[in-house]
Amino acid sequence: MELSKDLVAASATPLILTILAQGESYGYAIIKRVHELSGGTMNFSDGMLYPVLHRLEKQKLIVSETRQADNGRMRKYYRIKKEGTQAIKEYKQQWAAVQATLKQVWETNPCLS
Amino acid sequence: MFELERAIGDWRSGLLQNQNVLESDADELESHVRDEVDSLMLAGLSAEEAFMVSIHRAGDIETVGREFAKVNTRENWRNRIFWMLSGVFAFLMIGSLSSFASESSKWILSWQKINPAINGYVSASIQVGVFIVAVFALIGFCGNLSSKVFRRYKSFRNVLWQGILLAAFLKGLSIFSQVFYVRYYGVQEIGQLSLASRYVQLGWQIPWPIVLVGLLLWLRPAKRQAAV
Repeated sequence: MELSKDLVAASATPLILTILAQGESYGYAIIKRVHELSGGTMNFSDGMLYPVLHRLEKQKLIVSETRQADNGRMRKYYRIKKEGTQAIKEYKQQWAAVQATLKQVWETNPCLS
Repeated sequence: MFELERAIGDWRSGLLQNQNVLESDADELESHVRDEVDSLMLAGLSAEEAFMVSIHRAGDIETVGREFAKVNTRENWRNRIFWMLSGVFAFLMIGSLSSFASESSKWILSWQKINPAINGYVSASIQVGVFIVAVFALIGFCGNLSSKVFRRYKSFRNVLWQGILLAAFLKGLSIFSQVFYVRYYGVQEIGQLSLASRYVQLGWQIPWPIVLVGLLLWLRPAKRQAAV
């Protein structure tokens, strides 16, 4: 099963924020973690991650810092801010609300076809 | 023979062709692709295979560029204004080049004691001719060479400084040349020369806006996209 594009786009933000809440990271490591966690169901191209990270940075939910990595290359590291942690809480409530609503409607009105 | 560095370099410049992708975005994506290539090569793929897989996973440039466009709105406007101002600068450069050509031809012809009316026609025609050639040369230059030439220069600041110095130099020579031909000719001849060059300018200034509109239509983005 592969998630629809819209659903992937909507869930990318809370997922990335949560990964960053577990510790500072950089693009390549984040995308590996996303693939690992979703088992391939959240299939978005690697390049799409960066615009999302940049948007989160503009919204001041995360901060970035470019510095030299262990392998000698320059790398941009991202870290979550207090506002980001707060945003995760809000996302959790929103997704729980969506899930609860769908569950209710699916369980009381089973599809007859 | 596959060269990884060159392949990455080419891929990166393709990325930067997309006006929505900034230099810093390309840096980050390049670092990503390099990490991916390293890990795939450790898994046993050849450099070429690892590169192909990595750029495929990174996604196609158009789609990624569109996403960057949504984030980089402010930078994109700065870029557009930068290019508009570059256009104004290029226009000033072409103007000073063509007026230099015209003024120096006036000086040479007056020094050769050529009839002032002919001098006026010839020098003004040279001005218009140089202007047209320079505009088309600039268009060709932008289309085919700009990225290569810009890369050869260390920075845009160098291009700007050299441009300013060249324009100032040409302007200075034009002024000197004006002083000389005024001294070689009498007042009467200067009047005849000016009248003749005004006729040519009159003939040019009516079609010029039409040419400009034609150029804008020819170069408009919609048509370029359709051609691709």
